[in-house]
Amino acid sequence: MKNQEKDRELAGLIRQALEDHEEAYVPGSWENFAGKRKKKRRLFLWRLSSGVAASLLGAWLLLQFLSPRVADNFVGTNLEKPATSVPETKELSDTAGVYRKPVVADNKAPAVSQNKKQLQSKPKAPVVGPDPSKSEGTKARQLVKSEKKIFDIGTNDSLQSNKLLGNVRDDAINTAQEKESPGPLKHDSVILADNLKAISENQRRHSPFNDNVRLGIHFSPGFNSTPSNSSFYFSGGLSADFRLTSTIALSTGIQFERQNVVEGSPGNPLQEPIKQTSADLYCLDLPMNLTWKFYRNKLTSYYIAGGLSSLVYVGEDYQNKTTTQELKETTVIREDGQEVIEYELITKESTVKESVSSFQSFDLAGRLNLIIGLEQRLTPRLHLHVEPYVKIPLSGLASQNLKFTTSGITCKVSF
Amino acid sequence: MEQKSDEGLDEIIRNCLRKDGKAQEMLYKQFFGYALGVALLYNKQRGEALEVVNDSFMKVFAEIPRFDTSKPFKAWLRRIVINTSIDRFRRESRTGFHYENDSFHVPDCNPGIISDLTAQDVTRLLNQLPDIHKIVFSLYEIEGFSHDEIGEKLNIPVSSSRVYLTRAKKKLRKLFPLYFSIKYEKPGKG
Repeated sequence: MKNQEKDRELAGLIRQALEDHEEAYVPGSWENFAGKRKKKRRLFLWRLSSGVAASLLGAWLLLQFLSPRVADNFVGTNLEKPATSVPETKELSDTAGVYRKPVVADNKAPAVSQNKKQLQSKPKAPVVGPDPSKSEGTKARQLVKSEKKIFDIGTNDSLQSNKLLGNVRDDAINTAQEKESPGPLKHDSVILADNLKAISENQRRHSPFNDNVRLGIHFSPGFNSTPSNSSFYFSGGLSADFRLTSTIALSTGIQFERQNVVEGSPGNPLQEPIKQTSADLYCLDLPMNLTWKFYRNKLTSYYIAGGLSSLVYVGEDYQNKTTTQELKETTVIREDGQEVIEYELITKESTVKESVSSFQSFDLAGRLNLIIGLEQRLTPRLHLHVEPYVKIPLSGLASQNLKFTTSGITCKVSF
Repeated sequence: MEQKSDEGLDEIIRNCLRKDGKAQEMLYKQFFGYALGVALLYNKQRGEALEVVNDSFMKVFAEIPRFDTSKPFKAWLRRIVINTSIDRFRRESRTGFHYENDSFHVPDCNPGIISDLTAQDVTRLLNQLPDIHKIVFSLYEIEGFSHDEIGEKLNIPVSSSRVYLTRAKKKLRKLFPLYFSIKYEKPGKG
C-alpha cells in the first residue's frame, strides 16, 4: 500500500515535470531534415526507375528467348515476295538436281517448306541445265544445306539475307540465261556456294545471343584514393551489354563493392583540429555506360567506355577521429628561486563511431566511369575482357559526403 | 492572444496542405522542441530521438491532409512521434536484444530537491531503466494507455506489460532517493 502511494506520487512528479516540456531548437535541424527528405524522394525515384528498368530488361530478355520462333514465322512472310517476283528460281532447283528432296523432307519448319514448295512449283523453266556430274551433285547438296541455313536466319538479318538471296538468284539466272554448258555452271555453283557461305557466316555473326545481348561476370580489385590516402577496394558482379549498332553497345549491370576509404584533413593539429574519417562501405553499383569498339579483328577488340554509376549503400560504418594538440604552460621554480616557464605539448584524440543502416543513402549518378577495354575471344561464345578503369566522384558519396576516386582493373568473362 | 496564435497555426497548416516549403519550415521549427521532448522519452540517445523527430515530421507533412483541424495539432503530433518511436523500437528489438540489469548508474550530478525537478532530470532518471520498462512506464503513466493498448502496440502479452510496469516502478522507487533529496519516511519519524 505504501509502495502504491509512492508510485502514484512519483508518477505525478514525473508527469508534472514533463508537462508541456519542450527542448530547445537545434540549429541546422531544418536543413538536415530538408536534405534527408530530398534524398528519400530521390531514393524512391531511383527504386521506381530501377524497377521499371528491371521489368523492361526482363521483358526484353524474354522476347529474346522467344525470338527464334518469331523469326521462323517472319521468314515465311519475307520469302513470299521473291518467290512470286522471281519465277526463274525453279531453274535453281532444277539445276541443282538433288535440290528438291532434302527441302521437301524438311518437315520441321512447315512455313519454310511451304515457301519452298511455292518456289518449286513455278511453271516456267526457261533453261534447264545439263545433267549434273557427281561433283556438281555434291556441290548442290552443299547448296541445299546452305540454303537451309538461310531459312534459319533471325528477324534482324532477314533483310540482309533476302538481299544476299537475291544475289544468289541473280547469279543463278545469269548462269542459266548466258550459258548452258556444264563449265560455267560449275563456276557459278562455286559463286552460289560462296554467297550462301557468306549468308551463313552473317547469320552466325549476327545471331541475337552472340551479339545483341551479352551477359558477363566480373571481378575487380582496385584502389580508393583521396588527397591524403589510398586504400584497397574490390568489387564483383554481373553485367549485360546491349548492342546498339555494330560498334556501340550500352553496358549495364549490378556490382557489389566493398570500399574502404580514409579521408583526412592535412594540417597542423596545433593550429586546428585534424579530422580523419575512416569509412567501411558496402554498396551496390549500377553503372550505365556506352561502349565504343574502335578496333576489332577476328579474335581481339579494343574499346573505350564511359558513363555514370548510381550507388546504393547496404552498410556504412564510420570512425571519425579528431586530433588536437595544445601547449600547456607550467611554471617551475628552480633551486635558485628563479621562475621558469615550461611548455608541454599535449595531444588529445577523440574517436566517434557511427553506423548507418542499410539503404539509407544513395547517390544517383554519383560517379563518372571511364574505361579502356580489351576483349579477347576464347571460344565462339566466350570472351575475356580486361578493363582498366577510373571512377570519378561527381558529388559527395555516401551519407558523409566523401569524395574519393576509384581506379582498378576489371576482369570479365562474357558469353 | 491564444486565439491569434491558433489562427496563425491554422494558416501554416493550410499552407502546408499546399506543400508550401516556407510553411513547412515554420511548422517544423515551431514544434521541433516539443517533438524532441516527446521523442527523448522513448529513445535513450539524443541522436535517435532526432531521427525520430525527422521521421515524424516526414509523416506529418505526408499525412497533413488527413489532420482534423478541429483537434489540437500538438496531440496529433505527439501521437505520431510516439508511434514512430514505437515502430523504431519494434524494428530494433527484432535485430537486437534487451537486457535487464539491476545495477544502476548514478550520474555524476548534484542531488536536487523535489521542487527543482526538471524534465532533464526526469529523462535522465528514466534512462536508467531498460528500454522496454521505460516505454511501458511512459505509455501507461504519462500517455495514459491501458495495458491492453500497450500490449497491442508493443506486440507483447498484456501480462508482460503489467510486469514491466511493476519492475519499472520498483526501480524508480530505488533510484529516486539516489537522485533527489527525497526521503519517504513514515509521518512522525525523524
